[in-house]
Amino acid sequence: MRNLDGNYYNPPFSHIYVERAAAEHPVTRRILTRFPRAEIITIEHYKDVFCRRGQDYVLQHGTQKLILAKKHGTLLYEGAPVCQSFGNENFYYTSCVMNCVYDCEYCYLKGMYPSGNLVIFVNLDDYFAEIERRLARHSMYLCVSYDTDLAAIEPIAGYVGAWVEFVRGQNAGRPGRLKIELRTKSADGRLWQSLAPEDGVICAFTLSPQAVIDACEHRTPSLAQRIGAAEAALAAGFPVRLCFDPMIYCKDWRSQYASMTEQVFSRIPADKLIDVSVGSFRISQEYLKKMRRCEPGSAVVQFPFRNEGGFYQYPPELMEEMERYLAERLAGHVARERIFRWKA
Amino acid sequence: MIFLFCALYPEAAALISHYGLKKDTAEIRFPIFCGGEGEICLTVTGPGEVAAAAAVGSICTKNRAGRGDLLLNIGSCAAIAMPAAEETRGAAGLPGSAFLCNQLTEAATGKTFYPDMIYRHGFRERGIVTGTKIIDATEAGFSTGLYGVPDGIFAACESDGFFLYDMEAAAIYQAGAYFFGPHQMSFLKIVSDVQALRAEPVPAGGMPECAVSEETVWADGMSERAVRGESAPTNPAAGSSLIKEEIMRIMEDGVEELTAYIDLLRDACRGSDSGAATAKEKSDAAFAEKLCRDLRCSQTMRSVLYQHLRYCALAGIDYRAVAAKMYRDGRLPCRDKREGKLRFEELRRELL
Repeated sequence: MRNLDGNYYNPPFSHIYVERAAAEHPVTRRILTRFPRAEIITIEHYKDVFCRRGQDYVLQHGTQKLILAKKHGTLLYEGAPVCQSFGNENFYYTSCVMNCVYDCEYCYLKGMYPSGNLVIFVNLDDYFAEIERRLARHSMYLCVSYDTDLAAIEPIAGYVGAWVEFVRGQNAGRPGRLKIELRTKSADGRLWQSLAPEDGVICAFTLSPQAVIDACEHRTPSLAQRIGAAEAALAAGFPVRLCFDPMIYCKDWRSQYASMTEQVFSRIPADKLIDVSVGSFRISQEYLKKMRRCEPGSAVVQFPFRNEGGFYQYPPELMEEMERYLAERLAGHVARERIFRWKA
Repeated sequence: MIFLFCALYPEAAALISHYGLKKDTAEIRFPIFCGGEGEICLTVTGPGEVAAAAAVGSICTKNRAGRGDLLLNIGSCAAIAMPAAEETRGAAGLPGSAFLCNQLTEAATGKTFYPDMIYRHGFRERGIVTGTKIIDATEAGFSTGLYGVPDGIFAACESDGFFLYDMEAAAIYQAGAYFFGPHQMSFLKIVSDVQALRAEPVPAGGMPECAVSEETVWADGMSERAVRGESAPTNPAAGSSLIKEEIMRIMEDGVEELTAYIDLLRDACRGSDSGAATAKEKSDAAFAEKLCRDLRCSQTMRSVLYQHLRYCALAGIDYRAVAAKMYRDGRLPCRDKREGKLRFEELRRELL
């Protein structure tokens, strides 16, 4: 026997499940070369593994496996009501990857997906073809990194680079036709510096006070590192958005968010940002119900939220107070018309 | 608790001896052996899918298996080797090798099940096919579905030329799924014998057919007496019999590896949440009950109050002190439901 000392669990991506139909895809082959020691298990359909009954999301996430598959059926979805459109029309999102390598206790993925394993759909070209069909009818605002963090897995998937080049191709000679948002907590500033900038690609950095990061955004970069990545993206010439969303309640939330704001704008030139967003934590009742079951020890999901129309959120007066407070702090740095607050 | 399931007594004997398990004489349908500081329950199911599923259902129901428990199927299996000489050579050294199964295919239905590969281990990994019957050398054909083995198995054999075959694993998974999640089930098999397949003519438009060679020797499919460890296995199709001592020997040889894994699972089991309430949780629950009574809570208020207290406990907010102040101020207990609603809102405000 070996490997029985210390940690009980297999390391992340110790096993890679590969759909038979995706086995020979170039993206699959490229990803597999990065994991020469992984156990490869051939499967017929990703749902055979991802959608099994009775899975433990939290345990699986701690020893995450990788599933490589092809996505069929619907590839683009209309923007969900809990998401911000930032004033854009034709708001869509897409999921070329399901789940995230980061472990944020409040993350809705824990309520939405039955499994903590990471699924990468290797047929990115099919997504691009579908988008091209839509673009023939109208322009689009597309969020591509909602149900995952594409930048965090860039060394594995390489999808950020692929999206940037795709957008550049679509907007060549027709600027503004396609705008995508790449939301991330990743701190890999070198990624943005390695790519040619593209106006149609918005790099959106989710920022939280360090106390919130320490308490519930496990395995994510620190606030200082994320600010550094945003600086790098700005320096590279990408449009940058800062997302103070979700705001998380804690006893000293005022001082935490005030201190964070000062830290951010001591390094980020506010006039260079395209916009900022503010939104307190909100989530569908079904997702929260599951999250409370699988994270019984998490204060952030066990908060006594109010149910408003099927969505749990902080009590209205607290939510208003938190968001207004932060928006006011931000207004000291950013023009008010570039501060977006989520509205139900 | 770790629920161990073995098809045959010879597969279980080394484990029973290692952990000093004692037979539970109160159980009459299946031989059960318990011990290991009360953390191990080993059942000898008898061979075949029906016997295995019945045992899992019966034992897990009786012992209220669930969160905090683990299921482990340990036993012998055959390795079916592909006909190419090179591949077969690679399979020659398999007897006595232990495998952790990462996919379980039920031959009868073609369905495949995937136990989570959560825990570190030192075994090789493989898929296993679970069949309902002993492969009979007199029956020709393999890939055409005679044994229900899906074509994909041939692809699985491409890497090193063999796959595993038993008569219980997929059934134990399916029965176990009523009690356990895929992260709670493990399947460990030791190869007792290797089947060399002989190539048959390729049917028109079909996969190359193979059949089991006449040297076939089956580990599973033991007689009822063999389950009790009383006699050699009986397989009328086998050219020779694999006697119970042989199975016992390979299990004894592998017992160190097997028990190291069981001990790892046992440690992990100890560290998991069993669902049993601690003394503090009981005390907190009693306090919450008193608060509900004194606030004259309706069912809805009660649920909201519990959620507040749960959050406060996790966030380090001293809700007992807040409530104690309300008692000191004479705001608690409440005289009626009307006052209860007022005090309830006050308490909520003061807690957050």
